Amino acid sequence: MLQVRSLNVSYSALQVLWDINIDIQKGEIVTLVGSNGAGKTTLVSSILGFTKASSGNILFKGKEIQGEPPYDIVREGLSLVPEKRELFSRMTVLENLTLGAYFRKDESSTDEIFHLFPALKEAKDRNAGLLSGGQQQMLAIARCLMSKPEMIILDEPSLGLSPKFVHNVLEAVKSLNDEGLTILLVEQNVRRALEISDRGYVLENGQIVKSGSAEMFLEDDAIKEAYLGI
Amino acid sequence: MEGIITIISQVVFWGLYAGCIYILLATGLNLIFGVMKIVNFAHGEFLMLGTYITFSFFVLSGFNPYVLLCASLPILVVVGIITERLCFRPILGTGKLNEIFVSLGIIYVFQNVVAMLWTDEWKTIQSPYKDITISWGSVQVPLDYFIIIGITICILIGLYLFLHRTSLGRAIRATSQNRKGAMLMGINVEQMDMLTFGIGAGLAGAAGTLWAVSGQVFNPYMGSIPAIKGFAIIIIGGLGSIAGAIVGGLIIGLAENFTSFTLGGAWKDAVSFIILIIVLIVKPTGLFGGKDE
Amino acid sequence: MINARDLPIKKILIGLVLFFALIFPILFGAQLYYLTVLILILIFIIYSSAWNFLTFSGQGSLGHAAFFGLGGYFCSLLVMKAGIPPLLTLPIGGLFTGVIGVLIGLTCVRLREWFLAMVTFGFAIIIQTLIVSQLAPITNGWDGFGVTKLVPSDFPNSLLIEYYLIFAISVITLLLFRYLLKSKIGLTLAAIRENELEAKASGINPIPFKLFSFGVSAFFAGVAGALEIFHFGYITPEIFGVDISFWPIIYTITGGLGTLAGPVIGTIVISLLWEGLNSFGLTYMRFVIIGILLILTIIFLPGGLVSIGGKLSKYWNKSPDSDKK
Repeated sequence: MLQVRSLNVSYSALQVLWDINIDIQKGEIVTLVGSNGAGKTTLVSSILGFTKASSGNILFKGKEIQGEPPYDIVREGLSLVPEKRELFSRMTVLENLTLGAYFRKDESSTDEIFHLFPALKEAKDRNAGLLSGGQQQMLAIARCLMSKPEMIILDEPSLGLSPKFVHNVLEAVKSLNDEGLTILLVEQNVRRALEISDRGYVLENGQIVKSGSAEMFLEDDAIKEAYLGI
Repeated sequence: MEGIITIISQVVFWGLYAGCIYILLATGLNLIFGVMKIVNFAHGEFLMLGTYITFSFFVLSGFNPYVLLCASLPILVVVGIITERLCFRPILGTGKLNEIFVSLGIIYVFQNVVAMLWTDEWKTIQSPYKDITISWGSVQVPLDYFIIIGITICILIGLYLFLHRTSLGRAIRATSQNRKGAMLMGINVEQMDMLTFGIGAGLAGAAGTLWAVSGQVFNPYMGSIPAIKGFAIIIIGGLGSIAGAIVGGLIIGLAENFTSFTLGGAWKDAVSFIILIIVLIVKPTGLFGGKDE
Repeated sequence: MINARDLPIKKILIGLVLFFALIFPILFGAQLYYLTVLILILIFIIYSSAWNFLTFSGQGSLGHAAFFGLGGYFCSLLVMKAGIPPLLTLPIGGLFTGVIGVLIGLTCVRLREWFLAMVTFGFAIIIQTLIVSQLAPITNGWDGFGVTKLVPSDFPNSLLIEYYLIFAISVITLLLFRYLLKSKIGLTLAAIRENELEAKASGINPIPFKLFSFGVSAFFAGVAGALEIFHFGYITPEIFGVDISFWPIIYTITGGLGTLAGPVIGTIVISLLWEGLNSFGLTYMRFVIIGILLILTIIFLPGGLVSIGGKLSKYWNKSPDSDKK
């Protein structure tokens, strides 16, 4: 579904990502593991077209998307729940969701979404900026789903959330995947993420240093030590 | 005593009516600032073009000049879209001073193209209702003031409905609030830039028609001062806030007419800057502009 | 082997320009028209360089006509009311304008670019309003008044003497700017311009430096304004006009913002172009052309005309070298 091939990204003179190769199949959940400053967010923003790559290819459904503007990539069916959520904080929850379906020609309904996130239904007329952190994360995911994407990238969905909410979010992610959504999870909360994932990649200093099945990751001593805090 | 009240009421009506033109200018500037985070110092040139379009159509067709809003507004939308595409898009994100400098170039081009076509003499047209006044107690108010205030209110309501009730309007607001988020919704933000710039220019064009209809004189260089006042208004009212623009517009409109009356006509233009400077000394981010957007 | 690159091209160029400026009047027999154009170019070089100096501190102004006009008015009044010879009034008028500049700067130092632009623009209008209303008894309002010329017209070769005088003043001005920018003050200004927060963190208080550049910039804008008035021999409030505020910006941007040579080159090139277009009878069209040029420069040549040299020499140096490597 998504292939990243020999991707190099630099900010002016400083190279941040080196020869990144990632391959994600339809229907998978894949976790991208990496510490702060490893280049995770840069990778995500390059895939979505916010940051221009200096070389390499990014293919989505076999089509080159590298160099396209973010809004066209999103229209192809690849969407992102960004780390900072990027909600429209002076609009209501409902308006945020409506905007999520902005480019869908078919009449999209919020019923499904409210079924998945009941808390949002209660808050639908409140301004997004007034929601709690957990609700905002829910809204960010819900808004992203409104466009019925084929694949979503979740950048640090558990950041700043209470353990209970982290559980909720990851449960929701799992159930979305069961319905056929392809998911790339970028996480620091690695254990929980790996538990629901099929495979994983490790990003260190701008390079992919390891890849394999989630089970293998959970048992790998080096990964345990570096990222699982054991 | 009654005399004073009459004079004050006259001045208030004057202020309301003058405020209308500033509000239309400031609302356009504000929309553009909200979406693109740029300040269009050439905004007054759109006002000026609006007056000349009204003038030309009026001379050619003899239509009721109020009807010519249907010409000035759409034509200016197109002019705005072209200006954005050719002049502002290429420099977006290259530094704030560049936006100001590009505006200067645009000012020169528009002013002098108009001067070539229509000469630089002062022109004026007259409203068909110019002799009709409406009595409000002891106050005589020209009918045109009421029409202009009414049209401004209609345009603002129309704009509000467009921004809040239509998908395109929501997309513009989304781009204004969070550009990155808007892109993630599949919103083509560059198109929103063009559209917003067009709407802003259209509002200025409408203001131009109202300016001409109200019997005020205009020449190719008339745009700068009202535009800069429009900008003063949004600084006073808060960048990006439409409500702030309306309040600011009324404050400036009223203040201008009170100072003309007390300090003399020469101070009409300067007073908005005095207010502006006082506001900025007290609060460098503007009166209602709390957030740094 | 002598390489073209090793020659001090810059110094040679500067020398040529200076030499040409000195002998030009002699070559062309001191024709009135050419001399007038040259004198105005020199005055505007001082003015643009003064405007440009403000940008070295990261500030900008849309209302430098305030200082240009104040200098003009103050010096004219000194000449006409106090009987001081024009040349002597220049430093006094400059100083007065500089002080006003610092006062205006005080309201501006905390403001962001757009607000700053607005406020400076506003001051030009406020000062103009003062001159035509409350101060009208001494300024004669919109009608203005006549002023003694820098060099009285009945002097033999008065225009030629005036030219050399103003030439000397502009060279001194440019040397002073150069000295200031190379000095510790210049470096501090650069630090503030690049990153004000970082400059603050390293213990620099940016406010006095910003005020200083406001003062210096206003001083020379005032001197330039006075020189223009002493050239024409008449002053009106038109001197505060919006276009007077815009010219130094156009000259500097076309030449190259933030460089010493930029305002000089920009003023010369645009003024000559201006006069050339005028001789074709293009009254309004020349404004349109200048406007389009300005927009094109900002979009396609952000470094201004001075950056062409750098680009060319880069290209020049690259092509033979890259083959060898």
